[in-house]
Amino acid sequence: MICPNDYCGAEVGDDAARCQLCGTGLVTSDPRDRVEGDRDGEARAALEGPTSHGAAGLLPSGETGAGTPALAPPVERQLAPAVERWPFEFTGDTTEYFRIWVVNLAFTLVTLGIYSAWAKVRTTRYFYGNTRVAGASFEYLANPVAILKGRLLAAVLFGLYWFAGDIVVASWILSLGFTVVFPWMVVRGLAFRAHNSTYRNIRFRFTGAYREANVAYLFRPILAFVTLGLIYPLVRWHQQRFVTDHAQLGTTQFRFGATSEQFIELYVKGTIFVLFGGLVAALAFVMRVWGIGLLALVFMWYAWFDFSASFQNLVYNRSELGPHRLESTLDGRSLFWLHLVNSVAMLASLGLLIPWVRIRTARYRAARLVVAAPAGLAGLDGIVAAPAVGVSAAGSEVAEIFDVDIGF
Amino acid sequence: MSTSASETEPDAGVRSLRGDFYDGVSSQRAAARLEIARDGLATLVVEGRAIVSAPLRALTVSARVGNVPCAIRFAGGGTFSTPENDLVDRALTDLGAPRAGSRLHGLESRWSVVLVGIAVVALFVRWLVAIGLPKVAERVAFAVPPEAAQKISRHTLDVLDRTMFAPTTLPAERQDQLRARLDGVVAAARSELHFQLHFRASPTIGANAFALPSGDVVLTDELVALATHDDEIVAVLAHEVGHVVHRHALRSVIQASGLTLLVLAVSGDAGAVSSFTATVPTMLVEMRYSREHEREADRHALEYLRAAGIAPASFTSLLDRIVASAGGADDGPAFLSTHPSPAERRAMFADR
Repeated sequence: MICPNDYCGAEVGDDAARCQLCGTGLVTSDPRDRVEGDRDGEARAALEGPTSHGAAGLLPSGETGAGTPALAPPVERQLAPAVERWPFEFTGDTTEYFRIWVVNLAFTLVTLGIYSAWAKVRTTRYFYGNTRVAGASFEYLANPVAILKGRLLAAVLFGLYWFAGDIVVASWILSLGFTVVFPWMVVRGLAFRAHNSTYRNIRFRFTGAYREANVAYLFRPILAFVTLGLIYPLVRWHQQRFVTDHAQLGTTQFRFGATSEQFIELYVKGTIFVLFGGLVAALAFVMRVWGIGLLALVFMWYAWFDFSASFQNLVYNRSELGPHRLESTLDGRSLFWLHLVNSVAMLASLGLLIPWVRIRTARYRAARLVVAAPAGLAGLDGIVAAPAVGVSAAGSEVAEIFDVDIGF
Repeated sequence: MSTSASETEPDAGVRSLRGDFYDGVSSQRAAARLEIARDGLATLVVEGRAIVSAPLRALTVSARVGNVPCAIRFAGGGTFSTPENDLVDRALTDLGAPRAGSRLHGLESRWSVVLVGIAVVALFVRWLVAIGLPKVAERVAFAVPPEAAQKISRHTLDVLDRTMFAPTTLPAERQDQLRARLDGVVAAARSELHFQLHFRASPTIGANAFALPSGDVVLTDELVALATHDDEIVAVLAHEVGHVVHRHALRSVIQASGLTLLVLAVSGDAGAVSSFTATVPTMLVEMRYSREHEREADRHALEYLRAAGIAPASFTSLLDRIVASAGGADDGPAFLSTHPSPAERRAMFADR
């Protein structure tokens, strides 16, 4: 017979006491008493218990459950977890953003970069504000002046590094200094961005500490370098865990559930393909077989995107916010085509199609991301804010100038 | 304040905005309305009940960016989020306190402004790449004391010795002869740098010559062998000294950094632009800069040759032989695109 649980609907043996799939107890009644097609009635009866009056049709009237050997013991309500899904949505418009982008760029160039802080805030507000999930959008609250200060500091540091480049010793010192300061920049950058991002008027938070950042972004990478990159997947795993485990939306903690084995497996597979492609390409170019060389390069590129998609999926799918999960369905092929078209468009249009590229990339990513949670919970309504705390921008902007990718 | 219009339509002066209210304590969403009266009093209405009132001008209204939802913040921390940006803008303008970002939004909404913007960007980038960046690079390069440059290049020669060069097979007197000719070139250039001529054999590189910023000039045996007359070698030396005197290496580095910054500014964050896409335009511009530098070094050589009474064509005749020995135009594409075309150079160095 069919399991009376509407969400389950599994086939169950006629004399089973419980549904194997969802655990709902089954009223193993005399088949003659069964009301054909009355699944709802059966379910209700099962839920309400054998002593209920509503069990008309299932129990011969007047009898209680206790004395009837054919009846199963009292049933507890147990529904298989239903899942509610909220897909991400990107509502940005290409023409609208193109105009914003041009004005941003014109002002940035004419002010020799000073306006870039305002341009960045406007752009980020545009992309955040047009990203929606569960009926609400995100908001970016950063103050452009804070970002400008950070960028000026970065420019000064860059200038110092650059001039010291002539004096070899000084450039070594600065490179070393940069390596040491890098974990600090990661933490500040993440903290600044998180603090200035809100969803439904609840701020995100990043609470990672410098000590752990040093291990994740300094000591372990050095170890990876020493072991010729063999432990790199582990290094990345620790970094991702550091970032996710210290991220919060209000008081709700993010959690990172991927295992290091999954990371290793992913990296090994990716490395093998990319190296294979690279080897073939190198050989082909040395032997001047341009066609094969080109194909090998394309293969390498494709393998890279395959890896990238799997990596993103793994990170998203194994990150949880309280009871919420993310479902990421990126795939290498569509990512490859996306980037191919993007690159061709940007080059062919001499950069004019950059806004189009950004919008379509955002739409693509939003279309492949869904928030999921067990139904019946408060859902995304149940997140509580955390007490206020201020964060400076310097780390974030310094990190950006030096091309550090610290996104979550 | 009341006119006949408001008597017939009592709510004419009230703007009602629909949206959501988020109290900032939990992520609970509440459908709400914000009623803005003529005098600027904004009342938040949730489920038919007025929750809070405040003058709109006293509230923090988020800056206008496209049609992103407008967030109006109350003193208590709650936020009213509405998609009705235009109504908010008009309400604030009517109150004499235009919304932040509304002027920018006005600019961004007009295609005429945008077209002007594109023109500005195009012209500015062109000016920057063609004139601005090279000029800045030149100023900065000459501001750096020459001793600093000398220190880096020492190392480079050692690396090359280990990887590409073999000891020269040129007899010592021949080397001294050529060194004396180099002294002549250097004297004419009136440089503070200390120049030194090195001879190496290099089957991999073949006939070639180059100068490091430190003043170390390297001639390969293969080049010396190709020359039919010492004047030809002197012409090449003059070209190389030109590179050093004009600080081309340093200027190239500065220009490359500047280009990177420009590409970064135009493409914004690294998300959409892969490093490959950014490399192509950068490479093209850098090749153009390289050609400019080669022309400048050529001009320096030409000046010296004329002053020293040597036929300018000596330079291009040796150059043609070097190109031919390297396998013609096909081999080593970098050699050609980073240098002006042989035809152009021949024209410049034609005997008058």
